[in-house]
Amino acid sequence: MKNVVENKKRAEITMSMSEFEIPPMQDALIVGKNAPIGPEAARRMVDIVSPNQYEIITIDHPIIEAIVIRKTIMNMIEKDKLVKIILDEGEKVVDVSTIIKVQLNIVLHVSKSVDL
Amino acid sequence: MMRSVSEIMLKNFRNINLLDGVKKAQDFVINEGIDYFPVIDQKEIVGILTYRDLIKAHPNRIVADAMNDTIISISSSASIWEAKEIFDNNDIDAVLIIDNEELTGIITRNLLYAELGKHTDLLTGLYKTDYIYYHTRKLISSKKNPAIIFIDVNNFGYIDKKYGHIQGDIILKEIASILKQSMNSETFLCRFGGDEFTILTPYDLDRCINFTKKILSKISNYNFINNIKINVSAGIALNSHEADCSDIISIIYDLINRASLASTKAKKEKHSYHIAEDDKVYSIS
Repeated sequence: MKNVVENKKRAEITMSMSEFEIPPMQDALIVGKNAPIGPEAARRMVDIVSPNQYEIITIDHPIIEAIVIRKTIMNMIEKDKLVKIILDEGEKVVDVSTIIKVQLNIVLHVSKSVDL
Repeated sequence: MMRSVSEIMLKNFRNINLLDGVKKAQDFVINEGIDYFPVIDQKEIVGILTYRDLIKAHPNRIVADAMNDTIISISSSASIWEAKEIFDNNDIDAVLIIDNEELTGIITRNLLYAELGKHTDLLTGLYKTDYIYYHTRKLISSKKNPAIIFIDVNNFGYIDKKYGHIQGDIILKEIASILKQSMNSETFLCRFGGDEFTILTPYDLDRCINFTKKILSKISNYNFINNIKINVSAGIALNSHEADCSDIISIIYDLINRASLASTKAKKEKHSYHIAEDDKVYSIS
């Protein structure tokens, strides 16, 4: 009986394209204490493509080292309140070696009435 | 006397750039045995990276995210006690030594504490005389008049012979403990030698006498080991005249010497304390 050996090599390529976000990080980053990228590196990285848009807020926390946050968001909500909100949710998902990207959608509702 | 930081500072350090990777510094530690790195950004020192920082940091980080940006510097002629005060008041591992705006060395917490061990009396845990010399100089430099209270245990040789040297050592430890508890932020204590202790104060004569009386009372009321009755004699010497800052060592020697002679006189005359005659005149410039 004749042995037949078939030997093939094949490559499959899949490609996906999307628009490059500028800046590549969203509204905030939560940086773990032993994350491979520290807050200063993250700020400098984003400063090159979007200068002066982000601020580092150093946090006194057992796991989280800092939050790098888009400055304009703090025009809408007071810094301390915003940090508390981010930390309350963020500390449930972040660990000491991770960096979490945070998207914040803030809608300000204002309602006023005037005497007619 | 008065060791300066230049005698113990590290000269084996290497500058590192703010944007260098932590891994680069870790490689220097492994290959060159360097543990401390002043961090440079645009020719300025902006922080310090220590071995401890390197252990904590992820190797992928940049130096900026691993360093300590609290920079404290002193000159190489500063005393080790000045360095101690800096380390006591700041959570830092290293202090930079800068002379004429140039970085000449680094002093580390571990290095300093190893040196301070040489200036610590092993029996009582009190500092030795170098500590008093430093604080006397500091007082005179800040235009305050130093006073020395010299305390000497009466008949300590007899106590050693009668009860044994181990009991004698325990008594010295007990006295040291009483004295230590009597100190405040303005007073400084050291074991001068044998059964003698020296206290430095910035007090005038009346306050010195009150302070001495309180200490003597605490010692005489203390229940020492095996109920051995302990009495001490004290000598008080004040530098009540103006002193010349350039001759501080002579002032310190003279103060301690006069206070020790006064304590001997108190012992001979069976008084609890004696005030030294003011036989020398100095001027504070």
